[in-house]
Amino acid sequence: MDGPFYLPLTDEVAVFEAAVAARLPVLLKGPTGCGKTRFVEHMAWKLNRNLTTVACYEDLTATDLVGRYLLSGEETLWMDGPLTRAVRQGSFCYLDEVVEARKDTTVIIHSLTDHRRVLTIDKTAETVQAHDDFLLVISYNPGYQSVLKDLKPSTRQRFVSIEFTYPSIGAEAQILVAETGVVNETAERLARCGAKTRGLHERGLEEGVSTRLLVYAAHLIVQGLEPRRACQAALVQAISDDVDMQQAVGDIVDVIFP
Amino acid sequence: MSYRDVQTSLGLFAEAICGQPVAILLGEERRDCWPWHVGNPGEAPTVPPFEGCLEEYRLVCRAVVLHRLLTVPAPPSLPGTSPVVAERMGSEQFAFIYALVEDIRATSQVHHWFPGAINELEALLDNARSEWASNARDRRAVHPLLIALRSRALLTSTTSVQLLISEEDRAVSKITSQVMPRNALPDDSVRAALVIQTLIDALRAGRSLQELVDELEADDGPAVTTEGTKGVALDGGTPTEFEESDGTGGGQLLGDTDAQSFTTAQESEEHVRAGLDIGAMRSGRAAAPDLRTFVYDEWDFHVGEHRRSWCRVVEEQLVGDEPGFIHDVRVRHQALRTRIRSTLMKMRPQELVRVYRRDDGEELDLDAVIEAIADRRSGAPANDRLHIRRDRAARDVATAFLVDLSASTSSPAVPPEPEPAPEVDPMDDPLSYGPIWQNPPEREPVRRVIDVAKDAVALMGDALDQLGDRYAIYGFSGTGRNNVEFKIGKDFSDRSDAASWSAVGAMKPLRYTRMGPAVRHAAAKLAAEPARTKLLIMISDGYPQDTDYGLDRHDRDYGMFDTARALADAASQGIETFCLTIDPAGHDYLRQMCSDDRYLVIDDVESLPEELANLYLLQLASAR
Repeated sequence: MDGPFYLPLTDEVAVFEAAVAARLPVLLKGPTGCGKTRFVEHMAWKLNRNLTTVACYEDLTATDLVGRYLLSGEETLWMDGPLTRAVRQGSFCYLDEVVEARKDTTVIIHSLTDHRRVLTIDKTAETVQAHDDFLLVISYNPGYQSVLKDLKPSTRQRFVSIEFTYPSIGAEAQILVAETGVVNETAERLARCGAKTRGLHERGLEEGVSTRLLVYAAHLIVQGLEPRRACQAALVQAISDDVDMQQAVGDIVDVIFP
Repeated sequence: MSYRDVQTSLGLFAEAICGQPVAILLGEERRDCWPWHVGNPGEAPTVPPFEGCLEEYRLVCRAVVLHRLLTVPAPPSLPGTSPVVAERMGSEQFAFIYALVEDIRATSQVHHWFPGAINELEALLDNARSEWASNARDRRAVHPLLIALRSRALLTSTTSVQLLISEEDRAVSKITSQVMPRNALPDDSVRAALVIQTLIDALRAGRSLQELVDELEADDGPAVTTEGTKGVALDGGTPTEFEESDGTGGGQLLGDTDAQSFTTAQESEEHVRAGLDIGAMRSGRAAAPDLRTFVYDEWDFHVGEHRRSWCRVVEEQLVGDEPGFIHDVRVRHQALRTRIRSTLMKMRPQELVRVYRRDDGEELDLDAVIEAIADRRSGAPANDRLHIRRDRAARDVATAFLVDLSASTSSPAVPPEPEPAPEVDPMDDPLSYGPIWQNPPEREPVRRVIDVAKDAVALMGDALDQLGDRYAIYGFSGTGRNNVEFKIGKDFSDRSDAASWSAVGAMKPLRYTRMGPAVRHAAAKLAAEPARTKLLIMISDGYPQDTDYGLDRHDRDYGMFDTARALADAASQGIETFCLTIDPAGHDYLRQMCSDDRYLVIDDVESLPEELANLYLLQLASAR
């Protein structure tokens, strides 16, 4: 069976494999929708491991990761959180956008990321030694987080970092073709639309059009939608609610497609 | 409807195409704008004045801007250019020829890369051609080859071919074909322009065009040089060979140009293919790259209405060269810094608040659990909200500091002590000359008003970083309504790193004080912030004034009322405004500009930082 498609842009696969072999935790840096999650999925498939993905959000606490007591009938039941399960079973645990989560989560992962490789669960007074195959992967988007949400050096320095950027136009077009089967020329035009809007990064656009959005647009085109309409739906409307910004992105699509 | 309705989206469009901010100018008449007028390649695009319906006008502007952004100023020389050729490239006529060739290249780039804009572009070219063709006098004045070139630059797919049958047309068409491929570069335009320039010179020297064209068309023929050895080699060949010839064979190459441009431009070709790295190619353009322009109304209290689109605010990201600025401020004001921080920390919010009886949370809420069990045993429906969770209670504030950068801020913050007269005139004692010259008396650099203001906002910003509140530091000045300068030290989205502090450090006294548009622009930036509480704090040293801010230079009321209006408008957008001034006469006009609790006149400049911190606290307390 084919695994999730991933087009290596540089040597990230080799770095990741080396980190897995050395049991070192990995930090993926890069903007939204540039392929970080896909990369982890691809690597888990390639290395034949299970993957637990946790999308972090600002109210995500250590409890949500480690586990909590639940009430069941007349008694309380301990329920492992996703991180604890991964530690016990030896799968990849991917904490997506980890800086979004509350600070107490970073403390939890510290002991997992150094030579100890243990998870301490204070509520059950248990110390879980990580399975040999367990690997912690976190992702982080240096682009839009505020100062407060920066990753602390004490956390950052525990990880092997792999930096991601948006692919070049050629590579992005290749990805679009592979993902959706759209024709080369359209894929290239879509990729150019993406590259152009990324130039608007600072003007009220938190993020440029991601590869993911381009893939959506390509899917719509493959389904028979007219390219401009597809881009309108998948890119222009998705990227901003600001009328002028939509107009500008719409204009870019408009001049690039014949 | 006016240009303003398309301005913002057009600016964004241009920025996306170019990869960097672009200043777009509004021409007074269509004649000022390309394609009706031959523009300088790489200059800020000038769009025609509003005409017709909005959508049509928008498409016209879009096509003009796109085309102009694809043009690039002539490189000063090409690799291996001989001095003779370099000199030729400096002539005015060459610049004109290059501009036209570059127009042709840009048009062809639009065809290759932006096919969606072709229709509007061709409509523009057709329109310009018909106006140009009817202006016979204009055409007589110049060389036939230039007329042919201009005609070629206005060529569209619908132009009748019969218009292009003269020998000149053929020659031009042949030469400019080298700028038509999708990977053609400005260097190709230079080469083509040089060939045309050489042809013109050769024609003046009495050679016949027919002969020259025949030589041109015989691509593989030997080098055709004109006027001795200083002409242009009209044969094929590789640039390497050409460089080796060291100028002796003359200037430039022409011929099967695709092959050449591939070789010369292999590296840049990748960029060009990658969607035209226009930003990089245009980096040498005349207009400063980091400028964005915005247009604002101005309030004319004499007539009691707004002057529409009256002021142009030019926004610029400052770049400093003093990475140690913030460190220096911290060291110089250690005590003050601690005081400000402790003042501000008073209102540091409780990070987390326990919320009981939630359906999800970190721990069980024992009270709720006991109740639930009791309820269940008694047969009553049990509440299932049994958890405690800790929620954030964060403040949500965005503050813009707007610093007056008028020329007067260069005056000393504290009037200098009069120098004590030296007891003995050293000139009387020749022996003392040496020591005087070697050791000039050590003197503290005079602290100017601007330095105090900068230190104050820097200290505030530094403290706000600790609190996690969002803030921006802007400066403003300018001359005249078309050039209100708005300098960005640190924007809301910038991190407080060495670069942004150094930009704050780069604020310096400039010209006048047109407050109204600066307030409007800062308010617009604040309005775009998602924060719940928005604060605009202006720090100035005098009343609003500018060269044309009112009926004449002494018309203080005009600027005052305009600023008052701008402040009131900001307030109606939910922005708390506050004016701090160090001008002792400030009471006179600030009283009229804003209500009593919205301004503060500071007697002692050096107390500015602390006043700022107190003010921040007060404002936030009242805004709650």
